[in-house]
Formats: sequence, C-alpha cells, structure tokens
Amino acid sequence: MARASQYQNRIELLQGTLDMLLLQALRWGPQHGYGLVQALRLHSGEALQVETGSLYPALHRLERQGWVRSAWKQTESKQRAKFYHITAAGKRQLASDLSRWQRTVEAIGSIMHREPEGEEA
Amino acid sequence: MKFLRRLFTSRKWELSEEIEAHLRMAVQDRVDRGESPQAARQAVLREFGNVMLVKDVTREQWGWPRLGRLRQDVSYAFRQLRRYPGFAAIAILMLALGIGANTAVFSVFNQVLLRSLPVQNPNQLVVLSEKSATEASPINMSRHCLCR
Repeated sequence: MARASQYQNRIELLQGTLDMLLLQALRWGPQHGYGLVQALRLHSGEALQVETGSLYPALHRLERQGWVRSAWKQTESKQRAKFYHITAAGKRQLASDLSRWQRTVEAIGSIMHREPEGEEA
Repeated sequence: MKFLRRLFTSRKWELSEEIEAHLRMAVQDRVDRGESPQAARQAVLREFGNVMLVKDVTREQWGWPRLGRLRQDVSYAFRQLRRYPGFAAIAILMLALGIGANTAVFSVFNQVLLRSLPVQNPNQLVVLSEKSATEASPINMSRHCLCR
C-alpha cells in the first residue's frame, strides 16, 4: 500500500512537468526516447533521471495530443530509431506550460521566502 | 474490425521496435564505455525496468475515446448508485425479482413444453389413437408426435 502511494506521488509530481521538459528538450532538435533521457540527465547536471515507464507513455500522449510527431530515422551510429519532433501546437503548449510553471514557482517562492512576522532575523 | 486489429497490431509492433531500439542504443553506449555486451545488456534491462509494464502503460495512452467515455459513464452510474443507496437497493431488488421470476417460469416452461422426452429417438414417437368408423379415416391413425 505504501509503495503504491509512493508510486502515485511520483507520477503526479512528474505529470505536470515531464510533458514540459520533453517539449523543451525537443525544441533543441528531433530526438528519440533514449536520446531524450540522456539529454535531460546531461542538461540537469545529472539530477533528472526520467524513467522509461514515464517517458514512453508521455511521448505517446504528447503525440496523441498533436504536440509532437514521430518518424523512423537512422541515428548517427546507423541504428533505426523513432525520432520525435515538436509541432507548432507543441510549441504553443510549451509556452503556456512554461508560464504556468513560472507562476507556480513564484507563488511557492513567495511563501517560502516570507519571514515570520514580528521576528527580525 | 479486421482493419482496426491490423492497425493495432502494427502499432504494438512499432512500440516493441521503439523500445528495442532504446535498449540497443543503451547497450551500445555501455559497450563503448568498455562493458562486456552481456553485462551491458543486463544492466540496461535492469535500468529500464519492466518492459511489459512500460509497453502496457504506453498503450493505455493511445486511448480509445469511445471506450474511455463508456468507462466514465459506468463509473458515473456506480457513483450515483452509491449516493442513493435506497434507490439502488430498490432497483437491484426489482431486477432480482424480475430476473428470478422469469427464470423460474421459463425453467418450468422449458421442462414441460420445450425439452425432448427422455427417450432415444423422440422424433420417431407416434401416437396411436382410435377414431370412429363413421369418419373417413383409418381406424389406427398414427402421426408424428409434436414434441421434438
């Protein structure tokens, strides 16, 4: 039971941000699933490890929404892989996700940085 | 339906292919870093997690809007029933009584009128009867039993 709820928490935590992260990573250029995991890990200073159990459902969800498109292409090492690229609708979605994200961060930040009243630290 | 199924299996195949490509690339990276192919494959599979589960969860995302809506309707119905337990109880009771009564009547009807008689060739059964000589029919008349 504890494990299940833990899992649920992780999913919820990711749900909002993972889509945004993936769209942003795809703005750097078309990429396949494995490449996206690597890119997010590398550019987050090794902090973000996207799990495949979240990654592929998210990619397929984004594709269904029309925010990304996919095509089979050759990688640099001559492997066939399914590359995703961001669509115009995806870019619009990314912009709105980003502004919502910034509002959330500001709101949480303003609470976390507020000092207790009457206490001059 | 056949078309749909073909579409679905080809998508399933494509997803397997996509995940297989992921695994191959991950293995290749590890081999390039000097791991043995076997150790690399094992490490990658461990890192990837449950392949079947990942596929399952991914397939759920394809969605089936109609089926999804049906599921919503059903869960809505159950929520409503739970909100009004009295109504639910009466509805269930009436259904139960209706179905029960129908079943009871039909099982009698079935036994008495529809079932064949418990003999070897029921369609060869004949009824022998006598008729008076004034009528223009043979005295011993046989006809097929109407029961089958």
